Amino acid sequence: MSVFKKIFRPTPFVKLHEHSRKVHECVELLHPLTEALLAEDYEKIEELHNLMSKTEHEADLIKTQLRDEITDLYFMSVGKSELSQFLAYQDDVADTAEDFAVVLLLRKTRIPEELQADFRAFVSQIISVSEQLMALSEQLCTLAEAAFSGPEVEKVLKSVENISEEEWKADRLERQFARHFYSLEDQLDPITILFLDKYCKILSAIANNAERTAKYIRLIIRKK
Amino acid sequence: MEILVIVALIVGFYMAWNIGANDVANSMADAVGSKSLTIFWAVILAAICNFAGAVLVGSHVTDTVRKGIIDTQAFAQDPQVLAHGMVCALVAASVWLNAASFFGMPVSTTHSIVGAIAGFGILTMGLSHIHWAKLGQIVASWFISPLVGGILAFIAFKLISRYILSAKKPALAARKGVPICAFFTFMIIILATIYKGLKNLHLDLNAPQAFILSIVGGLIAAVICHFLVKRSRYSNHETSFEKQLAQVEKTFTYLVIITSCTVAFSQGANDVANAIGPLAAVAEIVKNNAIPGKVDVSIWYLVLGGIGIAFGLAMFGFRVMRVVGTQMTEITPSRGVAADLGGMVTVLVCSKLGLPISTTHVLVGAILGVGLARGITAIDRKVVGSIFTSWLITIPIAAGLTIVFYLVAKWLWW
Repeated sequence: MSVFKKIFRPTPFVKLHEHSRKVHECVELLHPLTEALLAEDYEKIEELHNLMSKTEHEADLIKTQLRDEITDLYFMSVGKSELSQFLAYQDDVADTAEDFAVVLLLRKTRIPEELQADFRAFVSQIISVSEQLMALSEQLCTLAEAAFSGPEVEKVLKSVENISEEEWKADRLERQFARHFYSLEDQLDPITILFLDKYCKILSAIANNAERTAKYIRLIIRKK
Repeated sequence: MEILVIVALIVGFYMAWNIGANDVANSMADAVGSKSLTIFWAVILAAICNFAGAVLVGSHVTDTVRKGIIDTQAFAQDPQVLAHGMVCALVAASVWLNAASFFGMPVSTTHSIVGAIAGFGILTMGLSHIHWAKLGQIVASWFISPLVGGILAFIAFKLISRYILSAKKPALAARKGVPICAFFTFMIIILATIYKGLKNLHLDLNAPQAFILSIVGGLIAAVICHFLVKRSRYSNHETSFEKQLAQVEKTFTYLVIITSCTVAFSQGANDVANAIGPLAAVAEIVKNNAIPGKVDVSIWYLVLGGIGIAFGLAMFGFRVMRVVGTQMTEITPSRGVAADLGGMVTVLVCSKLGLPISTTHVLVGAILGVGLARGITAIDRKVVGSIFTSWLITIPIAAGLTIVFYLVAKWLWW
């Protein structure tokens, strides 16, 4: 019979893009979570946390499926371990987003009026970084079509630079927020400050993971 | 004795039928898989091109199978034995092919028949009367041809990648590049056919004439291609890169149809020998009561083989084409063209050299070549492995079956 019917396997980049969409879905939940926190709507936070868990689990399923699919393949246009690693990094973004939801659940933290604008700006920037990562994953499909050559490669590498820049902006917003709430430290109770600090760390970890994932795309493109 | 010829005819035709049913679909795989051609047209074109290849270029490999593997001199005393052996080889190879297909194993018709004939030769005349030099060449070509196909396909795709996919305006580059590819494709095919060929049509052209004709033929093809490509509507305001790539693939559909046809052509040239070589030997032995001589194989055998293949293709090939078409989703026209070009040139050159090779293996090598050039992402490791293992067992099994059949037939009838 025909050997050609089984020799090809679907390109992994499609599933990879699916995974990145799911991961971004997780990160987008940061927006309603933040609003719920600022509005002190703690039931909503519970609800959103459950949704976040579910979405993160869905991302995990896609990741496992993709991992299973690529075990038996000869990878011709990109390295298999590079692809695997990229997947792992992208998954970290979703994991960290879930961590944020969990931390919100631990304690009814009240964020004072003056800090809310800075906090909102910070969270928005984090979501923006994740969005750009998702767009980047989509471009991998096109790059595969173009056999990883030509001007498109330069465009993608430029996008990676942009993400680094956006992550730097996120760092700046985090610093701004932190300096602001430390300046109010006499008015805030110590545990609140502790939690605000936790929020900062987790949120910037999301952006860092996204940037690390984006940087790894360089290896996928260049390798082989 | 005439019975032997009739038996040989039947089994030879059956072998050709097998080739048509199983192997020919692979040659059109790139066109069908990339959805450039409907299955109906794929079957029709494959039948025509395969037939043309068999008749026009098939004589060289047929001669090898007919008398190049075993030292026919050794049978001068008793040519009937050789005839018996050829028939048994045909039967054994056909049986093995059907059994392997039944179990879903990808085996090569070429390997089966060569193994069968060699097996018979060793049994009857011992190891000293095989043309080891020729057999060695043939076996070496089985290793080398997929490699060469891969290298050529690699180069072809790198060129496509560099000059078309990486261009500032890929769609435009494709519209210029496709006629150029068509030129080269037709030039190679025409050159291969008419240079030192067509003796059985009594048309022997010398080198300069052959070159000029092939260049002219190539130019005509390129011009036709250019107009075909121009006819399709293009929106020049298409700046999105994805859309440009889609246009490129669309332009390449014309080319991949052409290249797949050339692969079918070259496959006809190489594979018809598997069925017709033994048959021609048997008929000649029975007619002259002597071993096959220096005369080139008559064109009518090639015609018969071509018809047998076409029958097999028409009756069974549909099914295989449909499977290929629905499941080969990763091959796009641009990749298909590169793989086809690599495969076509390799098979044609081997056919001209009289080397029987497996077209399927060469195509697999070509696809791997395109993959290495980063055109294809993932290839199933187990399938590639199974191709090579089934290859290894084909030779001994075909040889063994032939020996068994011959001994049984000898005991029963001879």
